[in-house]
Order: sequence, then C-alpha cells, then structure tokens
Amino acid sequence: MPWNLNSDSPIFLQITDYIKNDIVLGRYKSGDKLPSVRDLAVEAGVNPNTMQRALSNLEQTGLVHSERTSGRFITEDENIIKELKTSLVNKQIEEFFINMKKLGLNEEEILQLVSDFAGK
Amino acid sequence: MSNLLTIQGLTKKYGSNTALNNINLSIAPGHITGLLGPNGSGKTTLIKTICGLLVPNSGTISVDGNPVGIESKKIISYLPDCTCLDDSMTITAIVKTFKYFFEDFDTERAYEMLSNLSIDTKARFKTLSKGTKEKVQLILAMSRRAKLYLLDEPIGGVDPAAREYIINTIMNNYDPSASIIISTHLISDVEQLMDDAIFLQNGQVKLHKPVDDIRDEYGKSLDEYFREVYRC
Amino acid sequence: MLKKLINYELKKTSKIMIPACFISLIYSILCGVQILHSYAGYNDHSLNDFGDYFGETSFYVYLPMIFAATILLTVRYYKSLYASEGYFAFTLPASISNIISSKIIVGFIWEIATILSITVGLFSTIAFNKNVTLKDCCLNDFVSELLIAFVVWAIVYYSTLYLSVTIGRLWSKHIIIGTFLSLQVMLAVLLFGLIIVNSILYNVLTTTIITLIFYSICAIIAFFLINYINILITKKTLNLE
Repeated sequence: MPWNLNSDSPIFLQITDYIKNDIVLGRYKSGDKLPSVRDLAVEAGVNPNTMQRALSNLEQTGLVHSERTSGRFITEDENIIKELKTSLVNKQIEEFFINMKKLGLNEEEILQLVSDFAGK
Repeated sequence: MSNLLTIQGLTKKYGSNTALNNINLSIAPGHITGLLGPNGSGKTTLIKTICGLLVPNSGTISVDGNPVGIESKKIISYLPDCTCLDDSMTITAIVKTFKYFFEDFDTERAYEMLSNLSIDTKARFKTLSKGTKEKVQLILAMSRRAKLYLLDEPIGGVDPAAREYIINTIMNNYDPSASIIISTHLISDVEQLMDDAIFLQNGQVKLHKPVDDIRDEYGKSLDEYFREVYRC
Repeated sequence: MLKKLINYELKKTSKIMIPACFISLIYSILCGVQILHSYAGYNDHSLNDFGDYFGETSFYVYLPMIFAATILLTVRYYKSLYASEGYFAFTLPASISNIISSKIIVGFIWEIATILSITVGLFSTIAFNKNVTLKDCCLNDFVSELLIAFVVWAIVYYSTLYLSVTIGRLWSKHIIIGTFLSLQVMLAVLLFGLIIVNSILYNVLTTTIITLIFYSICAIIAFFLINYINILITKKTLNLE
C-alpha cells in the first residue's frame, strides 16, 4: 500500500513529514529502530534513493540518528519528540486560523465557535 | 564511485537527419533514471546505440568500464519497444533460451513473475495478446541480474493493474549496484519510481536532474513540468 | 559462445533441413533404382547417359526442393538478424563474428548432410548392383566435371547467399532485388575467377584429381574471403530499425 504522496512537490520532503507524523502518532516510539531504507521505500512506493534523501533529512533534524552498522533509530530524547508534536500542532492551529480568517471571521468569533464545537 | 554508464560526444546521423547530436551523459550505479522526450527526440536511438544495435558516427560509450561489445552486452538487459522473439516458441522454451545464452538469468524469478501474472508458460508466444506479450518481455528483461537495464516503454500496452505490479517489481528488484533507464511517455505512472530525469530534444540532452529537484524548483510534478517544457 | 550459437541455429533450422535431407535420401535411392532399372536391358556399361538422366529428373523434382530449402534458410538468415528478431541476436553476449559465423557454419553443416544423403542414396543402390561399378560412375569425364563444379559450388554456396543478403539489405527499399543483384554479381565474379585460374594453369590441371584439389583450395579461400567480407560489412553497417 503506497503512501499517499503527491507528485507536485518534492517527494523526499513529503516522506519526511509523513514519518514525522508517524513519530508523533506513536507508531515509532523513542529508541525504536526504523525499517531499512529499502523496506521503507517499498512500503512507501518510492525510489530508494528518494527515501534515503528523506531519512538523511530527518537525521539533520535530530529526530533520527544512525548507528553505523545497525541502522537508523528514533531519538531517545523525549524532548525533541515533544517539540515536534508541539510544532506540528501549532502549525495546524496557525493554518486553521488563516483559513477561518479567509472566511471573514475575527479571533473572538473563532474562539467562540471552537468552544461551542467542543461543547457538543 | 565510478560511473556505470559514460557517454561522450555521441553523434548518430541518418543521412541528413541527426538523431543524436553530441550527447554527453553519465549515470552512476543505483539510480532509476527516466529518459524522456517527445517522439523523434532520440530516446530509442540512444538506447539502441548503448545496446550495440546501432553504430554511431562518433563518440564513445563506456558501460562499467567496457566499450560496446561482448562484455557490455553481458551486463545490459534490454527491453525493446517491439516484440523481438521467435513467435513460434513456447514461453518455457524462450525462458530456457534466455538462460542458455545469459549466465545472469534468474529462471526461478522469471517463473515466479509469470505465475503472479497468471501467464500460461506452455502457450506459444504468438498466441498471446499484445499486452501479455509485453508483460512476458518485461519479465524476461527483469529476470536478468544485469548492471544496466534499458527499458524502452515498459508499460505502454499493459493494463493499469499489471502496470502497478510491474512498477512494484522494478522497485522490489532495486539493486544499489545496478541502474535502470526507463524511456517512457507515461510519466505520471512512473514518476515515483524515478530519482533522476533526462529530457531529450532534437537529439540533445536538455536537462539531467534529480526529479525531486525539479519538483522543488518548479513546484510541479515531473509530468506537468514535461508538458510545460514540450508544449506544442 | 560460438558452440551455443551453432547449437541454437541447428535446432531452429532442423525443422526445415531434416525433412530436406530425408527427402534427398529417398529421392536419390529412387533415382538409383531407376537408373539401374533402365540400364538393366543394356549391355553397354557406359554411364555417359547417367548425367543426362539425373539431370532431367532433378530438374523437375529435386531442384525445386533444394531451391525451397535454400530460400527458407536465406530468409531465416535475414529474419533472425535484420527483422525484429535481430534485436535478440545482436544483444546476445557474443561477437558479431561469432553470430554470423554460426549461421554460415550451420548452413555448411546442412549442405554436407544433404550431400551425404544424396550420395548414400545413390551409391547404395548402384553399389549393390553387379552390372555397374562405382568406377564406371566416377571416372567418367562428364561426371567428374560435374563433381568438380559441384564441390566448388557447395563450398561457397551459403556463404555467397548470406553475403548477398548482407549487401542487399543496404538498399533498404528493395532488399530482395538487392540480394538477387548482389548474388548475380558475386557468382559472375566467382565464375570469372575460375575461368582465369583455368586459363592460367591450364597446363598444370591435367588430371581430374589435381583439378579437383586445386579448385577446392580456391573455393576454400573464396569461402573465407566471402565470410570475412560479410562480417566486416555487418559490423560497419549495423543499423537495426
């Protein structure tokens, strides 16, 4: 089952986001070993070189580190993961606010609608 | 790491028509490269020249350090755009023939793929439908443990379900020491498979970049970018 | 790899050639029987008529068959190298010399097989007859000339045909005409060569055996030359569409 990837933007970036999501959702817990590049590539339905690029990208963010012979592991540092979750959540909130404002709502109206929605 | 394929100054003319005009190209191992361009841009000519089916007017080709000859043919697996096999043979006989001539042919893998696509190996090649013939030829090409795979329109006449199987097969058989060059018109189907793209026009290399770089730079899919570049 | 190519080529052509050899055998046995039959009433052991007799019946029965087998093998040469099957042939890990040589060698093998079939057929019937001896057959002048011509021709037979195809296909619009024309030119050249050789060495070529040996050597040289030219031209002009 290939991942839902869009050909319009760089795939390696989309993969990076996808894996970040997986980490936040708990599919990959801290200290877990990631599948090999090839296995991930087959799962995602992409070229292994593209997957390689994505994983290198992740390494740069500190979320993933590689042990020379054993493969790639999710970071043990819980803080980094928490930060990731926070930043993803904030991004969603930001996008939400932008979209709501496009519909012509101001901040007070937005907050009111949100608590009404949550109350249901 | 030395390149798997190095082409320098390759030129091929047919009378007054220049099919390949001073092509310079290198491909490292472990890449799946799309060879793209409109009809008549020289894709098939380029592939045939690498295989040794055409004699160029000038230029050099080096396949894993070998010039075009016996050694290069041993490590190249070619899938032509047409059917090139003796029709009257059964598929089993054809598989045997491939194994007979090519040491790196993996018979088990061939039969596995044939059964996965429900192809009757006792059938004579000429009795198969066009799409099935193409599938068989592709299976034969992918069953070689070659270093350089040259696939000319591998999924052209094949139904969408089989296309996915074929694309997955190509992906699953990925070998970091080998490279694949796919020449195709069906870019959107094969985009995700490629990591590099070469655009040919009028026998010249217009572009040779990683596909993700193209997406990054132009904010479009490879298919869309291609259409833009080659708009009529 | 050459052995593999030869094996493969033999298998592919055996469907045509094994029946051809078999028919040759049967036909030549029948011929032998008929010759004996018609000579049964003759006290004259001269076999001058043998040549005429064989010639007549061959013309209507046997030659068309040989002609057909030849055409089929030549067409196969073209198809397996220059039609879509050529994509397979020239991507095999073998040198062009080996690929072409395998076809020539196989053509030669089938020729010898056919000739043996005829010889065995003819001489098996004639040899068993007490009235006619092998000597009568072979040392007859006409037969010996025929034999020499036959041997020379046999050595270069398929080579000339295959070279004609290689040259003929260069005229891409009219391959068959091209092949035919180049064959005619080649045969003319060969014949001319033989005539020149004959006139120069006319004093030396006294007995049949010497002539036979000498012309055979010329034919063998021609064989290698023709095939060398074939391989050279193929290498230079390989352009599979």
